[in-house]
Amino acid sequence: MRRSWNSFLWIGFAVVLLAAFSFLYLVQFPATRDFPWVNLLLFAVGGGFLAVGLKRAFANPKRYRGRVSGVILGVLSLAIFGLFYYGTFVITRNIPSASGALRTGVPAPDFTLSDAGGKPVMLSKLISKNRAVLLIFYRGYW
Amino acid sequence: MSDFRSRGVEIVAISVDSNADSRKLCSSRGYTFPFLSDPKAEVIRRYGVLHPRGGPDGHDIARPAEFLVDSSGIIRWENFTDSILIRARPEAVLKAIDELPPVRAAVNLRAQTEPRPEGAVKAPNMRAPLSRILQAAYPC
Repeated sequence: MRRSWNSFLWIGFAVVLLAAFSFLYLVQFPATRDFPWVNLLLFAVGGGFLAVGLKRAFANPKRYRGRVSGVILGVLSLAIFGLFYYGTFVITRNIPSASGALRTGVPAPDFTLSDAGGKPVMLSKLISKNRAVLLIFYRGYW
Repeated sequence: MSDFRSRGVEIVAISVDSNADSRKLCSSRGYTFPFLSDPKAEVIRRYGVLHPRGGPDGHDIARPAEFLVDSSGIIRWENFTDSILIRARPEAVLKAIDELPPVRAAVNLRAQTEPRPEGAVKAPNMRAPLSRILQAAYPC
């Protein structure tokens, strides 16, 4: 009997690749960036396909191919998932706690810094027009 | 953006980036609020949001943080994320502003109609090259 192509393995691997690379697009939207649920879901689906494919390859080797390719694809997929997890859940949380930061109720220290055009901007001058100011500190390095 | 202005709230962004870097960022993303340069992280340190040696070249940078300062100079609200992927959304900040009655009083609602659609935290430009989109996940 001719052994048939184990499509589940390749579908699973393709879905895993999609899971990883779709993040480059989905990262634009807060709903899919704050918690990358779409990507995790895709990883789960891809993993399911791979599991079925591997099971077929090993349980029924006379009928299905993929004992070698399945293991390779499976290990690659695990590595891709590991990198994704590291990149989105570990590296991104590698910031110091804000325990020493100023809190509600205390006066905001005044400052003068230059804007993109080199013009000085003073906090006390901004609020002197009876306006509030939202200060956004960001990491920079664009 | 106009939602903030109509509530009497100015937006100011601060990082260790140089003025030239801020100019590039502003023009590429179309922001309409000032980006201030704090190259020595002095103000960042004073607000307690320093990320020592957090920059790619080992420089001190800011950890992401937002503070709302009312017109009397008092901090009324702050937000510190645990993950650089997760930032305060403009809607959430506006909600926080609206839910603070003392702030509203102090803020003095002055309707200013400036038709500028930008929010405090904008999704990256979709036409930006891949590297930009990747970066966008992290630094801002």
